[in-house]
Amino acid sequence: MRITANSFPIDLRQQLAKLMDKQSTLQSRATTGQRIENVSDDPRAMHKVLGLQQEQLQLYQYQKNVTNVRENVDIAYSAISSMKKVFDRASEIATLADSAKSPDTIRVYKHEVDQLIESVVQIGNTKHRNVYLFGGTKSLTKPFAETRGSDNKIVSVAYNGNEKSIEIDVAENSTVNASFSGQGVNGVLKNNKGADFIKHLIDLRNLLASATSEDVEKIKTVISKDLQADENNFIEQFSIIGATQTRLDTSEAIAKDRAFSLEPLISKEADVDLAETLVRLNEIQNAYTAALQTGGTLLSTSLLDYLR
Amino acid sequence: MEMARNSLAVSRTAAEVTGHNLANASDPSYARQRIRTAAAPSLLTPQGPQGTGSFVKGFEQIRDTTLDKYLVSEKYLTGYYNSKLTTLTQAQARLGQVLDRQTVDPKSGQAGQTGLAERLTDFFNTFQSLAAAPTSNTERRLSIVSAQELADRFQRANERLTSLRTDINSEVTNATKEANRLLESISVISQRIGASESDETGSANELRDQRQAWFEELAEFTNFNTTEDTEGKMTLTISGHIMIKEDGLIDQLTTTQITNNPTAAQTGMTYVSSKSTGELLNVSSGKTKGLIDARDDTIYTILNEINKVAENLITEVNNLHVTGYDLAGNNENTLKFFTGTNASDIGVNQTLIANPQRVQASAYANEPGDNTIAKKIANLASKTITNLGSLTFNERYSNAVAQFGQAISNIETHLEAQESVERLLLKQRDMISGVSIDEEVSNLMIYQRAFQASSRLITTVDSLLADLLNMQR
Repeated sequence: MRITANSFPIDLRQQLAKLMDKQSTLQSRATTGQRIENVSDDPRAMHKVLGLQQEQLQLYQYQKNVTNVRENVDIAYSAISSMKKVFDRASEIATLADSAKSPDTIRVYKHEVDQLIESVVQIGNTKHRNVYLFGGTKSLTKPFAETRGSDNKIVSVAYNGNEKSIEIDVAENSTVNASFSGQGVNGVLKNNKGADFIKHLIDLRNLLASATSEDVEKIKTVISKDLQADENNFIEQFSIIGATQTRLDTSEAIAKDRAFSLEPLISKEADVDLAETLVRLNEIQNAYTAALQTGGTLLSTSLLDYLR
Repeated sequence: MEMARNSLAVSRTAAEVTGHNLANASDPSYARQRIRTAAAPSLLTPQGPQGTGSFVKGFEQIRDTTLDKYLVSEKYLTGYYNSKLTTLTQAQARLGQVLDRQTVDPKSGQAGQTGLAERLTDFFNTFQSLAAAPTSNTERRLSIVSAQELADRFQRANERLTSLRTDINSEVTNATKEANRLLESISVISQRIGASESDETGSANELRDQRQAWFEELAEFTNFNTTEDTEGKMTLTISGHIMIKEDGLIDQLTTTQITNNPTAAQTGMTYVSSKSTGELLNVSSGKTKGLIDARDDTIYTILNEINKVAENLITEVNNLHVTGYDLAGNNENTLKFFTGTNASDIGVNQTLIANPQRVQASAYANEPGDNTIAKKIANLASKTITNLGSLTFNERYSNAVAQFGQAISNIETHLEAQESVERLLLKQRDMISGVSIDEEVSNLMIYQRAFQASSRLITTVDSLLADLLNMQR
């Protein structure tokens, strides 16, 4: 093989350029920690990473959704707990109002029940983030509109919300109900199984106000039965909320686990094996130094150095 | 004495050729030269023919013309792959789909969320958030902002890739100008070669070296064919169209647009054509073809895909949005969420930007807390769209991006292989035609010795003559 004046420099230049290119790639990988940056680095891996990232972002969104729903559910739980306290007191009053007490004594309870009615209406109109909690999907309309008598006491309450509940995604094709209705199949205060708490409180108040022996008897027979339906409803609400909370916890845990388990998959495709990269970088650097040294030595000598 | 004088002249000329070789040692297009000597005609003497020394017969260039032709044809391919790769790498940068796992996106809180794919997911996710709080003005505002960012990203990708295609038009024009300059130079130098070689003075070595260098330069721009007739006159054709005929430049290149039923990819784009006839020249290799292919094939495809995704996104989102009700419970069945028709003009409806409460997220009048429409829009993220080949928006986009990346990756592989081939051929040529300093210097020593020997012959003969003349005293 005939080697000419240009052979060495051309080869050396090409080899150095190649080694520089490799060094640059490895250096960039070592500093960014990424094996791929542009699509062309590894199209298949980039395609996979894009898919995995989208899945991961969706899972993070489901976690956010769970947080949002949980907020609503927690507030609803707290409100229903307050209603239950009102119920407990009303139930107590209904038990206390017996024929052994004088009508005057019984009438005194009426004032307390009036306040209980006010409290329940107030709780029924609870707002969270400017949205009525128990209005169904008519969440910007005050759900419980009261009518007051001449004595400014509540005589009846109309429900202006609806029975619908919004469904929020907590996983692919999986939703939870995130809003509550004051009235309806699963109404918090009134359902189709006999619960109608505000009306029952008003009835109780009216019976306490009249305090006749028939009315006191009615409290024992009718109101107690009605209040039993209300209690059942509160217990059902608690169990619905409890079940929803459990579901939210499970969904959140699944979403978290899945998002977490996607990370190593993304990392496997996108991230660099640092040890391998550094070893290779070291190899290339050695080759580069060797190329410079040998190139410099070979190029610096020629026959001319030995001629006089 | 005459023989010695001739011998001195031969040695001196040989040393000059060596000097010429050494002077051009660093020029890769230069082919080394050799002196051709021959024994001078012998004199007939009674004892038989007697040698009279040597003389310079001519200069020869050490060149393998077949290898030169191979190199030219390999240059087409190198030019083709090089220009295609450069252009597509630019397109990749303009597309902006980069993975950056170190930078955390403040919106999603996740790393590596910079491209259109991530903005697409973010858009659907903000609608998920809106579905979770349909009456929230903040969520409505965030959905609008996310949609604006997405629209902006679509528009930027479209604008950048479209402007790249326009820039490529200018590059094709510039490439043809460069090719014209070379065609002109090749024609002029061919005429000079003809003039130099016509009076039988031998091959015009340096001119041929230069012409070969220009052939190789021209090959980087376009493929061409050359033929030489018996008189050495050269004809050069590009895609069958004669540009140089018998050393004379008769045509040049220009650029033109296709007017006869251009395809969508060809509309508004420039192509190489003949300056004299306007005929389109179907160049099949070189830089110009690389630019045209990158522009009309790979870049057009990714641009088209982005437009398709945007177009379907606009349609799907709008179809849902027009059926919904805003926060005040009103439905405006013409109130579109997105304006525009594709990635070039996609935007968010100004009415909604000015008043996010007008976002029609509910499916029922007077039920502002309903999230049906918002949820349906959010669920478009995983809905397969018939017009997108039954793929989701993200799948279609990431498929297109992966195909685009694959195209670049393929060219990188081709170019690497091509550069190896070219390097090998250059090396082979260098082995044959390149100047070896050591070789030249050792030749110089031979010529020096020959010169010294011839000088000694003169001094010896001179001394013999002097001795002869002294005999008369």
